[in-house]
Amino acid sequence: MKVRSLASLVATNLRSSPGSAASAVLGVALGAAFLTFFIGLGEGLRSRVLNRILPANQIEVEPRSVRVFGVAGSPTGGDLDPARLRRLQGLPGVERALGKQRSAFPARLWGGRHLIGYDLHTEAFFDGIPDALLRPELEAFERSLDLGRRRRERCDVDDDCPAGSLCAEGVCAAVRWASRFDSRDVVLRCTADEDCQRGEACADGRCSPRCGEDDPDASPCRAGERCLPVTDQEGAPAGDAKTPEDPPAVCRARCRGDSDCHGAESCDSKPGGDGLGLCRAVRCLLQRPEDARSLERGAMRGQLAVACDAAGGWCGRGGGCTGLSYCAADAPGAVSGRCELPVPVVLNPLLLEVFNTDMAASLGIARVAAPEALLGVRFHLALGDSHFTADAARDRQMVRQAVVVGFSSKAPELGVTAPLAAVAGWNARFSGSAAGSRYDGAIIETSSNEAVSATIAEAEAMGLELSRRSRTARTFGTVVLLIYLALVLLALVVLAVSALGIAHTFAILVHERRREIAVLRALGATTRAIFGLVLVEAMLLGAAGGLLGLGLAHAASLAVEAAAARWLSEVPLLPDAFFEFPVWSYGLPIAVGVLFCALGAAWPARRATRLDPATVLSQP
Amino acid sequence: MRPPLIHARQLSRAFGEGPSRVQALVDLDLDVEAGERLAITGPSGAGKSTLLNLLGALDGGYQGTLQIAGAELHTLGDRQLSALRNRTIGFVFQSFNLLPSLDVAANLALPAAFVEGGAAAGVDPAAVRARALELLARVGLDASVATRRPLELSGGQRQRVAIARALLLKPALLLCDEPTGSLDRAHADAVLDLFEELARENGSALLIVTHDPLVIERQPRVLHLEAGRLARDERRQA
Ligand SMILES: Nc1ncnc2c1ncn2[C@@H]1O[C@H](COP(=O)(O)OP(=O)(O)OP(=O)(O)O)[C@@H](O)[C@H]1O
Ligand SMILES: [Mg+2]
Repeated sequence: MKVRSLASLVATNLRSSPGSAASAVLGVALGAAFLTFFIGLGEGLRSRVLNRILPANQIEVEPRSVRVFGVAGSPTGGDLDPARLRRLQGLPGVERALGKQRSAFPARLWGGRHLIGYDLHTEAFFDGIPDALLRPELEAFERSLDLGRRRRERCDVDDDCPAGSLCAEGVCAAVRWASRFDSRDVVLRCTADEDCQRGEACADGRCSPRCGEDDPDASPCRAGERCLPVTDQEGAPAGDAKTPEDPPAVCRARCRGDSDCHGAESCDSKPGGDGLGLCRAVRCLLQRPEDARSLERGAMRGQLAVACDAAGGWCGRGGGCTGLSYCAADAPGAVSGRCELPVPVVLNPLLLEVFNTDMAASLGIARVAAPEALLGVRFHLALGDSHFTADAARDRQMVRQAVVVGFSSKAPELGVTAPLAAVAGWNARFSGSAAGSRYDGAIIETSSNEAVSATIAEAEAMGLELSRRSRTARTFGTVVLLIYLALVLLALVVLAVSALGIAHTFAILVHERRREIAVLRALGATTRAIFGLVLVEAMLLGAAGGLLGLGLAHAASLAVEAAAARWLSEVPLLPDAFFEFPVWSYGLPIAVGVLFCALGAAWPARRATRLDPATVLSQP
Repeated sequence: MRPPLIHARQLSRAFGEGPSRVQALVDLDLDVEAGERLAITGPSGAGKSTLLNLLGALDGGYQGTLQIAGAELHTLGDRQLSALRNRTIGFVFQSFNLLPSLDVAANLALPAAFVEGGAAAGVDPAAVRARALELLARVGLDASVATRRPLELSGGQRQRVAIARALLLKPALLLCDEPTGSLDRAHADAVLDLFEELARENGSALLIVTHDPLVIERQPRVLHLEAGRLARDERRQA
């Protein structure tokens, strides 16, 4: 039978019984709408809530520990050292395994004066995570703010500029904060090797990886770095008579110009003789200590000026450093120091929500309008100091600045997340060089979601266990998946019921049209053609119902999003959208509508082929 | 020698089982040649419609032999039977049996929709449309009728459309069950004239079941059925 004739017959049939067609379509539409709505919600929750906290192919493991009333005690499964990290990395199905460290020293922080009028003081806990893990999310967040496209405003100081941008050469320029979450920007200053992590040496006032001791293939130096004897670092002539105990060598990045170095350093081309130089702390801008003191204002008057020891010059609280860098003393009250870049940190958005909902109300202070208002905000860290334990490690204390470069749900809710290099370096400084290379946990990324279970088993065999966070995420993920499946099942039940409706409708239609069907048979229609005629009509209704359901589901999802935006905007931790419709979710309701209608109409269609045309036509 | 268009031997048809069993046709022998014209008559319940349904391959539940165009209907499958009904047989019913949801043109073209192979079988849409319009003119209907619905037409007009539809694919056998039964005398005569003329033009054999003596009188051969048996097979000069 020809497609066109069949189509026109079906079309006229549909038109001739609009009532029953409409009721059949509505049933299917309802089922398809349920299905699409639940899929959109399920996918949205999975990708926007779960994946943000911990993606499905990532797990976090920690050394197994004794738990007393749910509180983790000391580890029993042994340390997670670089060797075990490499073993994790080597497991089949593991894409990468990245170590994490928590701060093992007291610290406090204060800041916020120019945001809320006075400084907030609190204890600080640090999480060090590999910057590669956060950077994509930070960059996506920054792209969504679209800072670069804003109108460029004239300015004299940073405060003239909108949030997230700084004053540079008279105009406000967007700072690409996300790219600053980079361990290469973290330069750990030292005065002796004991300030550095194991495997590092203090050369030229900074901690650098030792090299050249064992075989050169296992060199810790990265691309662009060279292994140089420590004596070379100081600019002393190389190749001289070596001291008996062989001065250690360290990896140093080579530079062609100042742009190869981070903001608080410049390229010094003296060593090596190959035209390439080393990044060194820049000379501070002030000539005399009086200049530094004269820059200070109000309450800060009387603070010490800092002599930039290695590079020369002076700086102080009020200035003396270039670009984004600030004047950092080696220790509180010390006269020696240098210009340094603030440590980039990332916060959990919950922190902002808690601040806005609970803290702002109880402290009677203004709320922070948007997360981008916090981008670029600096605060002070007193490392090794505490509100609770006095005089802890006083001799090693230092005061540093940190700058907020982004927000991530992967960051712990309470605490400050910094590049691993910074936290590891501080741990080495305060708890001994071994502490710098002992991980508190590892984030394991598998090549597929299916490889996760096997990886967990392997890690458990190594004396590790899932972190509380990872366990919660997995439990939550399973619960969400189960609810999701239950709702999809419910939608399928609705569709099945609507298929029964279709069967009923078409049984009646076939009975009503039995004479027409008999005439068609008399004119030469095969039983297959009759079957097809009924089925295609049902499938068209199914497609129409599916399409209608798709529209209904999307309308409902928009209504829910709008209602959530209207009434739930102040609830912390809510995602910006609840629904996500993958491409296949657009075709699915239509396909499912067609399928269920075809199933429902199959039996009536078969009945239509069984009609005896002679009998039907004999009836008056 | 070509086989006769219709060849039936000891053709019987019974309905029902046990005490309610009805023997509608009993041991009927019949040969009809191509182009022949016959009237089939007899009292109500004699089995006329039953015979016509068997000849039209609409009812396969018979005993005996029944060959149409040389093919034993027993041995044909659904596709072959459908093709036979489609290409070899044209039906005209007392109650017209036009599809109310399709317009006249679509009703007319309906048989072409079921041709297996379409254009390959020599039936292309343009030719079908041309033939439908030609037939419409031939049965005396204005071209403007083509876009109207069957229910907007008079009984006579509807029967003309039904005749045109039966002739669309030039069937060798035209089967009509009381085609003039629901028409008044004047219309009935006009329709019958048309029928006979078109059948002659096409070279189709024409079998008309009728009670109407005037219709019977016009046919060169008359079959009288009584209680399922062929009582008389009467041939005369036209
Ligand atoms: N499908 C059927 N089931 C049972 N009995 C049937 C069936 N079709 C026909 N009959 C019986 O077969 C006999 C012949 O019926 P048929 O319709 O062929 O008569 P007819 O000659 O066409 O009568 P009429 O002039 O009233 O149309 C009748 O007794 C009828 O009741
Ligand atoms: Mg009859």
